[in-house]
Amino acid sequence: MKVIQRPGRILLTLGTRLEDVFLLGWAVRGVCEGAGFRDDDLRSLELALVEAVTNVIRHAFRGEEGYAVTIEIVISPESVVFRIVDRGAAMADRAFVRCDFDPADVASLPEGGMGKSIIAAVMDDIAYECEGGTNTLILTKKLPSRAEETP
Amino acid sequence: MRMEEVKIGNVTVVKPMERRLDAATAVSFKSRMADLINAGERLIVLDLTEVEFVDSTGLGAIVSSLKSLGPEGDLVIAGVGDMVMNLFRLTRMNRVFRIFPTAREAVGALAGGPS
Repeated sequence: MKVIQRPGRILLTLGTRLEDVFLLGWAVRGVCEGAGFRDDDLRSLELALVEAVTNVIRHAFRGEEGYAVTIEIVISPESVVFRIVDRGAAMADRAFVRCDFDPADVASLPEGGMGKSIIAAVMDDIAYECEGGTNTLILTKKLPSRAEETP
Repeated sequence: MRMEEVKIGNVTVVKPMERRLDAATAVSFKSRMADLINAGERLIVLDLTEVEFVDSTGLGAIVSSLKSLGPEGDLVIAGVGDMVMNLFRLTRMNRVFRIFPTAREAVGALAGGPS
C-alpha cells in the first residue's frame, strides 16, 4: 500500500545577503526530508535551491543587500514545487542546460554558469515567468515514490 | 577564509577551515589560492575535510585555481564528504579532478609530479 504524502505549503522570505543563503538550504533540506527525500536527493535539492537564490542575488540584484527574495514551497502528493519570486532584473539567459566539456581540456573548463547546470540536473521541470516586474522561477521535483513510477 | 597550509616535499596541502566554500567565501579562497600559485606552488592538495558544503561559485574558484597552475602543475582533492561529492558528480567535475580519501594519499600521489 502506498503512503500518501500530506500536502502543505510554506512561504519563506530571505534578504539578498549571500552570507544568509545557507539558512535557506537548511530549511529546504528539512522540508524535503519530511516529504520523503533521502541521501543524494536531499543534498541535490539543498544545493539547487542555494544555486537558484544565489543567482537571484548576484544577477537580479547585482549582489546588493537590502532586497527580498520569496521562496514558496508546496508539497503535493506528487511533487514538491519551489517558486522563487523576486522583483529584480529579469533573467537574461533563461536556458537551463547541463554543462558539457572535455575533462582533458583544462583550459576550456567552465568557471561559471554551473549553477543553472546543477538546477537542470536536479529538477524534473523548470519554468520561468516574468510579468509586471515580478520574476518567478518555478522548480518541480517529483516525490521519490512518484519518480520511481516513471519508466 | 581561514586556511591551513602545509608544505610536504614539493606538495602544498591547503585546508580551508570553514564549513562552507560558497558564494559568500569563494572570493577570499580564490585570492589566497592565486597568492600561493603566484608564489610558485605548483602541486596542490586541496583538503576539504572541514568543508561540508561547496556550491558552484566555490567549485568555479577551484577550477580557476587548477587552470592557473598551468600544464606543469596539478591540483587534487582530498577529504570529500557526501555533500561535496554529490556536487562533483552533478557537475561532472569528478571526471576532471582526482579525488582521494585522505590528504596523505593525495600527497603520495602528487609527490612524483603531475599525472
